[in-house]
Amino acid sequence: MKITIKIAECIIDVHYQYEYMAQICSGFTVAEGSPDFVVETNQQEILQEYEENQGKFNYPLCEATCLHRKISLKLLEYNTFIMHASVVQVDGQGYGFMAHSGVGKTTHTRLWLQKFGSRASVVNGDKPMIAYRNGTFYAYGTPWRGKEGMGENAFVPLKGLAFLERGEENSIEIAQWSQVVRHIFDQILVPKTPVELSKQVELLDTLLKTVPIYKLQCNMLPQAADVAFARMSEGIV
Amino acid sequence: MKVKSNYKVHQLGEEYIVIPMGAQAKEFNGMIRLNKTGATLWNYLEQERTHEELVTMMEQRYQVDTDVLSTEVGQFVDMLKANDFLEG
Repeated sequence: MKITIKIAECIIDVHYQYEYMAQICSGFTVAEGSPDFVVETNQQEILQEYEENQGKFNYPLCEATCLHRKISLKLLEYNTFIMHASVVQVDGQGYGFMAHSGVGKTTHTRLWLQKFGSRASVVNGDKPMIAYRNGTFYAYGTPWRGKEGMGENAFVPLKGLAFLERGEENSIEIAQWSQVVRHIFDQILVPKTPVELSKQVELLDTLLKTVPIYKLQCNMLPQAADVAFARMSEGIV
Repeated sequence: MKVKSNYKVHQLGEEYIVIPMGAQAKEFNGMIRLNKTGATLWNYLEQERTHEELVTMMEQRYQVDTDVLSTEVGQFVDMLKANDFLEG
């Protein structure tokens, strides 16, 4: 079976076996046309993915993961890469949060939604695409919305990114370059070929020079969103 | 000695990092970070070099005392060996 989807302005023909893939892509389908590229997977790759995850995820989910990885690596050619982050937009500006699982990305995202109401929405709660277009980085929604299913088919310029850490109090500061380098590779898909890896590092280098990256220590109270927004909406000062 | 060809130094701002690729990637979790001197040495080691050659090359570049350089090059090479970054 085949569907045509558009992610980060790229038209992609996706060949799939399990209906789950079509379900998660439903908001991203476009009319058939001449695709920028085609992705497919096979039973062997799906099985390998299944075994690597010790059977924790079923075949349809493993297929979606395989296809996701292929799309992500291919998108590097279009100055686009996947980031494990939650991106929320407020008044059309994107704010991204990165953290290891369990730190509270989703909780913090919800605090922003509560604070801003209809001014805010989640672009993608788990795996947005980060795309470099004409000197600006944008966050794009993708079909991969994490277990909470937060996200939409939308894109926004990326105003700032923050590494989340739990803290008693709320505080935010620009992250040191060395801290960013140490942690950012945990939040991307590290390519396994030299050409792709060089491209990924080049994009990260440009990202870190273009978009301010913060270290946000926060608790789970509404003030956490106040503190984060106050600093991140200022941007580079 | 020589570094394995599936490792390459990348520059990210002021940081130099090495990320493994290919078959080795599965066994290696993460990356190593180098300072500028380390990155220079690593680049020299992309071709076959002896300890003496490395010390001479560094001496020409940094004008530091030979004994100091020899010790530091030795420490760097030990780190490479400990992480299995060298061929053979």
